[in-house]
Amino acid sequence: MNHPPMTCDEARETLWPVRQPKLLAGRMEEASNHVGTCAACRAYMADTQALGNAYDQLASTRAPAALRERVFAAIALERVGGMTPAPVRVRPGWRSSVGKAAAAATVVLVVGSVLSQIVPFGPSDSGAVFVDDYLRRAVGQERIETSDPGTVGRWLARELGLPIRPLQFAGLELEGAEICLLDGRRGAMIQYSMNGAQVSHYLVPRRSARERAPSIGVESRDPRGPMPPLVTWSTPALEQALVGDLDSEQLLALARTAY
Amino acid sequence: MFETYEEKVGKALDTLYPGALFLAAGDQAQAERLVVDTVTGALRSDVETADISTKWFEGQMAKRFLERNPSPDTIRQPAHPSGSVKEIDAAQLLEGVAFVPGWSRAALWLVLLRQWSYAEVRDALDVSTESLSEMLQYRTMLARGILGATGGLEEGASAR
Repeated sequence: MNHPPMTCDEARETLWPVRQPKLLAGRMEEASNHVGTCAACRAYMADTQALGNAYDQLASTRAPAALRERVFAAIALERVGGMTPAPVRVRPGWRSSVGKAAAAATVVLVVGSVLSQIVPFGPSDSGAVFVDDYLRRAVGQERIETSDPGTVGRWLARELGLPIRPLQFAGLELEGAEICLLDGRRGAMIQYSMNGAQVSHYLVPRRSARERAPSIGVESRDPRGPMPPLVTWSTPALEQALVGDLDSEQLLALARTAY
Repeated sequence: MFETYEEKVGKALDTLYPGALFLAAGDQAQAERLVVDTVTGALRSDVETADISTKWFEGQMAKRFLERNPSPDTIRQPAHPSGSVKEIDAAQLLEGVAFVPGWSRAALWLVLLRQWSYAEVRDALDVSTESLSEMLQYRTMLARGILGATGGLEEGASAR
């Protein structure tokens, strides 16, 4: 079947997009031949290629970190209906008190394999995800120190986009919260103390989380020695865990207040 | 694996930001405002999070930019020294797009630079085929703006 001679528009459309032209009923060769003999089309294709190359350079520009912060803050504000979040205060002293807690073996390092048995984060080798989080804390990023549950709740809503209320229990004192990175997922850790013992409440947004009642974590062997007690559970959209220097039954009682 | 809206936004930002810079002709503050407004505005849409993709965000941002530039406006004369098309870099691209009416930049971005089909762009921007064709006519002005050619429009003349 003989087609009428291809027009410039037809040739350009046939060879579009320039970098990955679509096949069009065998007319690719005809379009290429047309461009080869048409100066205007050659210039058009060359211009388009050059514009694309220039845009590739521009596209290598990453969004600035400050813009990312603005974006997530704006999203969180949108989610809470535009409520102005309380100002965040960071007291350097908390870092030293966390360091002391670590030295006293009440820090929240838990072997990754323990959580992977209970919380389906996915495969992880020996605690690497928690070391990652520990390192993030060590450089002091994204934390708030306050004993006001409302302030912590609003801060977490801003950072995670979810309404989260700190635990409330007789003798449990709220100390603050931090953003953490667990198995590549952005979550939070709320820090408490109870009768001098440190307790950390981990929360990781995960829509696929199956609702699961609090249960004591399975003990596992670790070359560093006995691990702190662990309780895990899931509420809709949140995987949660309590780790700390209380006994398992105490952690379980705390977890049940949140379930 | 399910991703939250925030995770999808995080993945899309490095695509959206350069696009916003193009649309804003290199104005960083305007580009950042456009990105922020796009992701917060999109949150109010009734689209399921599972259906959201980086491409969807691009369409949202282009449409938002078009809504802020609803009609062709007066453009100025390109004033750059002439040069070879092959020597275009990112900075020259941004300088050149300043000579193109804002009204047409969203279409030029999606078709020329993001390689969307005409049908996809028409749907994303919610414009007629005729309007889209008219917007894409400014491709020549973009190239001439970069090259510093006169382009045929006198200073103060309205864009067609």
